[in-house]
Formats: sequence, structure tokens, C-alpha cells
Amino acid sequence: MHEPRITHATLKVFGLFMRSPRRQLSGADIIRETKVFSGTLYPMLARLELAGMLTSAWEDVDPSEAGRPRRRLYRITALGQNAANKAFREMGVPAPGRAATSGGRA
Amino acid sequence: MIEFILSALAAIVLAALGAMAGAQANASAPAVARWIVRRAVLRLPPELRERYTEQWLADLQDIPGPLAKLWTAVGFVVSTGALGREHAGKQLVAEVNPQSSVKRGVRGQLGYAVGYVTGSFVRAMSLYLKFVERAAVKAA
Repeated sequence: MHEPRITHATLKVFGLFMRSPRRQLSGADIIRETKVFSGTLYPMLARLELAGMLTSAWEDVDPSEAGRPRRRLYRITALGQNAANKAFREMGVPAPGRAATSGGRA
Repeated sequence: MIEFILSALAAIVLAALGAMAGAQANASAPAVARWIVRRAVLRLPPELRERYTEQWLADLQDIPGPLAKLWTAVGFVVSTGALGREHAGKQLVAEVNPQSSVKRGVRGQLGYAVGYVTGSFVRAMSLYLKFVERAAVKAA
């Protein structure tokens, strides 16, 4: 398995997850909070998921009852947290704390 | 005097038409964005289409503002090539290495230049759309 490259956009996404590692975030949550372009974000999420740094699952709702499609929710794994901490260390940037934020699902 | 009245009337009609066109564009943007999603997923490998159709349509609903929805949908189209490669198990092209430009041939250099110009255009459009959206929000 290849180690995904860590770009500025990846650090932004890692930073968002690391603020509260148990949060589940949809692509829209991540776009709203990090302003990463969707054309960059989804390949990155796929890359991190394939590397085992993120996991994703469908939101637990019935689309016909909710009247909208299900969201795909991402969560950072232990491997991802280690990779994020390492990336922040290498960049000389302190890893984000566990402050509560507005978006996302616990 | 007649000319002044006609000019004023023309300005009012044009402003009304412009407002109607803007409102129409705002109203139809989400539908256009959904249409773009359905076209974009056709560029993905068949096994990924269902997943990304549902995921992207859900994400689009959560993006506020018609222009932002459109811009996000454009991003979906952009991402399809890389997504297909990722899921095919291939590594994305590495970030540009200063030494790699030495090894590129003329076609490689041309491709890099086209990519650079396209990327700059996309970034400029992104800034422009954000500016227009903020202006529209202020006007409303």
C-alpha cells in the first residue's frame, strides 16, 4: 500500500478531523469547514480511505422516509490520527486540539 | 424629453429582465448541479457510480447557495478521473518535482503548461464565483 502524499489540503482535512476524532463528517461538512475544492477533496478522501486512514459508512437513515439521499460519513482511524500527528510534527505545526465545532455528527 | 423617458423606460425594462434572469438562474442552479452530478458519475467506473451518485447528491443538498452548488458540482466532474485511478489501485501522479521537468519532453512540458493554465483559470473562476455570490448576498 502506498503512503498517500500529504498536501496542504490534506493537512486542512486532517486538522478538521483531529479537532474531534470521533466526529463523522460528510463531504459537504468538510467543504464548508475547510473550503477545499470538491475536485480535490473526493480523490483525497478516496486515497486516505484506501490507505486505511479514514473509514466511511452510509448515514443510518431511510432515504424514502428522510426524503433525501443518504450522506456518506467519514471518520478518522487510529492509523489516520498517527499519520496526521506525524504530518503536523514534520510541518512544525501543532496538531489541532479537541475543541467542539459546529458541523459533523458525533 | 421623449428621449429621456424612453431611455428611462429602457433602463427599467432591462433592469427587470436582468433581475428575472438572475432569479431564474438562481432557481435553476440546484437542478443544473444535480444534472451535472448525473453526467459526472458516468465518467466513473461502473462499480462506483451508484455510490457517488447518492453521496454527491446528498452533499450538494448540504452546500448552501446556488453558485456554490454549481461550483461543487463542477468539482465532482474534475474529481472523476482521479477517483477512477484511485479505485483502480493506481497511485496518483506525484506532486511536481522540480527535477522532473528536466526529464519531460516537449509534449510533457506542453501538458504541464496546459495543466498550469487550466488550474490557474479554475482558481480564478473560484474566486470570481465567491465574489459574485457575496455580492448577491449583500444585494439581497
